[in-house]
Amino acid sequence: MNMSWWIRAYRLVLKLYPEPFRRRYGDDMEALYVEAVRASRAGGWARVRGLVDGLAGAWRERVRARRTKSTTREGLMRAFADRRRQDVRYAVRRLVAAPAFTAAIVVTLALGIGANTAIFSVVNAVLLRPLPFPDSERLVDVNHVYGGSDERAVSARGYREYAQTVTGLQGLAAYTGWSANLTGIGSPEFVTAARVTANYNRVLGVAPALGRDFRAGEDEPGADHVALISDGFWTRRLGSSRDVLGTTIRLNGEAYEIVGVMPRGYVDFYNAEVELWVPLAFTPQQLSSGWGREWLRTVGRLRPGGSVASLNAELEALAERVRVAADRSDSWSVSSKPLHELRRADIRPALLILLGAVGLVLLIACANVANLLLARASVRAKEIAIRAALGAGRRRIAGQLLTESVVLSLAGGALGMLIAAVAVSVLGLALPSWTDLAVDVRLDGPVLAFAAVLAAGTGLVFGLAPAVQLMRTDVQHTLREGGRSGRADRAGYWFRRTLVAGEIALAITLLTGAGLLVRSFSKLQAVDPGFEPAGLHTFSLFLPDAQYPTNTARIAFFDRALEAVRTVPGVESAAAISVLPFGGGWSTSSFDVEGHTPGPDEQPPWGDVRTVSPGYFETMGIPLLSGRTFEDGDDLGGAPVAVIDEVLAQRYFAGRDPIGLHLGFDLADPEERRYRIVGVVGHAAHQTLDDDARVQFYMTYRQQNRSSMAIVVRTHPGPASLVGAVRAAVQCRSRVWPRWNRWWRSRSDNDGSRPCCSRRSRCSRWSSPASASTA
Amino acid sequence: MRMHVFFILMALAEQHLHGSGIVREVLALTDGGLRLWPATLYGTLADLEAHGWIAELEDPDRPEGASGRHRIYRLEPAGRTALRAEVERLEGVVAEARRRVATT
Repeated sequence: MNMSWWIRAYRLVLKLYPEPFRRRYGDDMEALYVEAVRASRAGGWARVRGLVDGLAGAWRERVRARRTKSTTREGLMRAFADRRRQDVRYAVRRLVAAPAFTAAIVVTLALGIGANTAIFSVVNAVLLRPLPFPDSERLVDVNHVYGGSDERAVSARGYREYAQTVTGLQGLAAYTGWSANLTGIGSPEFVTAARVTANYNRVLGVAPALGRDFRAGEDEPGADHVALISDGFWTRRLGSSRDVLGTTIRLNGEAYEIVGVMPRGYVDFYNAEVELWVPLAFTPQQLSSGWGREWLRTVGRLRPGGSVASLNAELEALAERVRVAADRSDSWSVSSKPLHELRRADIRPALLILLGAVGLVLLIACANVANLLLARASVRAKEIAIRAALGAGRRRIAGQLLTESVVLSLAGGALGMLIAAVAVSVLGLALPSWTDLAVDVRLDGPVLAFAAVLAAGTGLVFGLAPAVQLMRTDVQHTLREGGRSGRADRAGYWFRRTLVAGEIALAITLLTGAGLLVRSFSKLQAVDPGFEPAGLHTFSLFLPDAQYPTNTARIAFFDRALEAVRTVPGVESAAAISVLPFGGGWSTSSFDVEGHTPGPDEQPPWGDVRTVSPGYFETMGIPLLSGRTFEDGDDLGGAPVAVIDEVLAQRYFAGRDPIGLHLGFDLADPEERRYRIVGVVGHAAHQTLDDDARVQFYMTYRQQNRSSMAIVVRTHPGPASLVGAVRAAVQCRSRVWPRWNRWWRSRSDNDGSRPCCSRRSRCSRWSSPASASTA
Repeated sequence: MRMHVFFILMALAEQHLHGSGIVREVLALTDGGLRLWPATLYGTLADLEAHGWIAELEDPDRPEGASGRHRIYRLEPAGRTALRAEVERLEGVVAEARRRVATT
């Protein structure tokens, strides 16, 4: 047999030994093994015997090594813990002995940590926390997309089609906001409500806590007079009575039966103030209007195993079929996005910038504190040198300094949490007015963890400075010099100057950023919205179908209401519009422009659609640029007319005179109505002050069918009794309660007639019609 | 005291030996009855060294460039004491065994 195989085998066995043992004895063991094998008469047996002995030995040595290591490790850990305990006691003693110094540092850190924690809690609530629905990552919304714009609504026809044919979705529900006069259970009130398809709660995965959800089919005309109420509404208006189910309430004069109560704390995804949900029954007219007439929001749930990408592919194919059928080549399409992204897109950049800014503030605070500690360290140089001379290792002393820093930062962190708690409650109040989605900002697990990590990290960061300086100190030198001057001191001085320079740089960066923001904001204030807001008041009127069943009746009502308002002394002019500028409403559509074919990459004509009364532009102060505005003669008997804004004229009629040309809307609608353009007016901002991307297209209410309008009233600066007078004027012609809107805080009115509360509050509640208090 | 420990100590009692020397000496002492294999031998030597019963010496005769150290061991006073104690114990056992054998 080849001699080397068993030597090689033995060497392999030796590899099993712990390294130190192998290094020490390995060669001798191999030599001995070879000798033993050679000396033995039973050669083969000896080789095996030796290998077995080797294996057994390896096992023994490994066990022994493991036992030794653990006792050593335990010992080390115990020693470490003891040292840290000592350090903490020492640190606390020293810090308490210098209260002003300690307080300055703790407060500085608390402000930095508190601000960061507060902002992080918002980031957590808005961007990080999952939605409060089961399996919320599978929730999506479906919307229409025009070229680059990010539209977030669909049309009724579109919704029906997607709900019925799209296979990538397990369910699709639609939502639209609503407000209604509530009567029948005590004092009348305006409630913020929502109209939703019957499967809305099922798609979201929520269910009423009491009673039942909507049944399939209750969102058909005739079966839709049922309602779900929120827990808040149940408590507030119905005293949490157990007999709530079956109670009848009247909304806009019509009877609705309460069939369920939503769980406590549940808020609607789209609007946190919704207290009441009723089924959304599409009228035949709505279903036959164009694909491009968008007013619905949607919520869908992905089919198990499906993905957003595959859903988008399917929607794109569907859009292509619609485009081909309508013979369009523009870039309209349908797409979906995960629901949790909806609440992020508009606010994410602002939040991240804010987080970055407070992060910089914390850095400045750290640099400040490091500076203070360094100054103190050079004062303590002599003490430290003595300790080093007495035998305390340099690392030991550095560890002690770091412990001091961590103690300081933990104290700062604790105080910072208190500051954050206060800040969070303030932010929780302010936030709903920034986004229209429900957000719950609070100090929960992830936020507290963030604060703790931040506090500890901060301590290490600024604690490094004095510790590093210490490591570079020359002990002998310091002792001899009495700790006053010397190399180490000079190095420390240079380091501190760098810190100060860094702080100044960061502070200037922050100040510049803040300055730019303030400048942007003040520029926004000065932007011309396109109309004259000073002296304008508005209120909305919602007509019950029961009392005003026909279009003629509705038009007649609005005519009378406007007339009545105009007779009130102090009123200069009054008019009506379907959706107020900055009113939070949404009404857009795509349309065709005569003589203009959009190219394949061009965004198709799309913009705000508004229905107004004659006299609207004059009341609002929107200038007429050419042609005429609406007249009383434009009514149902005549051809449909429209007024466009100057941006529309420039964009789609460049070089041509738009007067006399036509617009039509409704994608894929066989009987398009053609509107003849009769006038061009100035552009007016509707959603934000920088949205001149959206064009406007106005129609007259005499040629449309509207059951609700917002009335705008321009007044001479006058007393608060105007409110009462107008209200009385409208009411004596009808039994409709007007709802005041707070509006543009105009610069010139300080007459007290400005409503005192935000549009999100309940200032639309009346206790008695006779009260003339500022609403 | 285990047998191989006893014989290792006995082997080192009179002279300094290295690994293979110990093995040969133990074979001689036991008439070939106990062969110490490398793992057992060095494991025990490491143990005895840790207890302070034996100690290691540099080998002055180590050839230049030879791989591995040639380890020489010597018995330490503590080891000698332990060996003596064990010998006394064994003497007591042998005496008792003799007495019992003689009775018959």
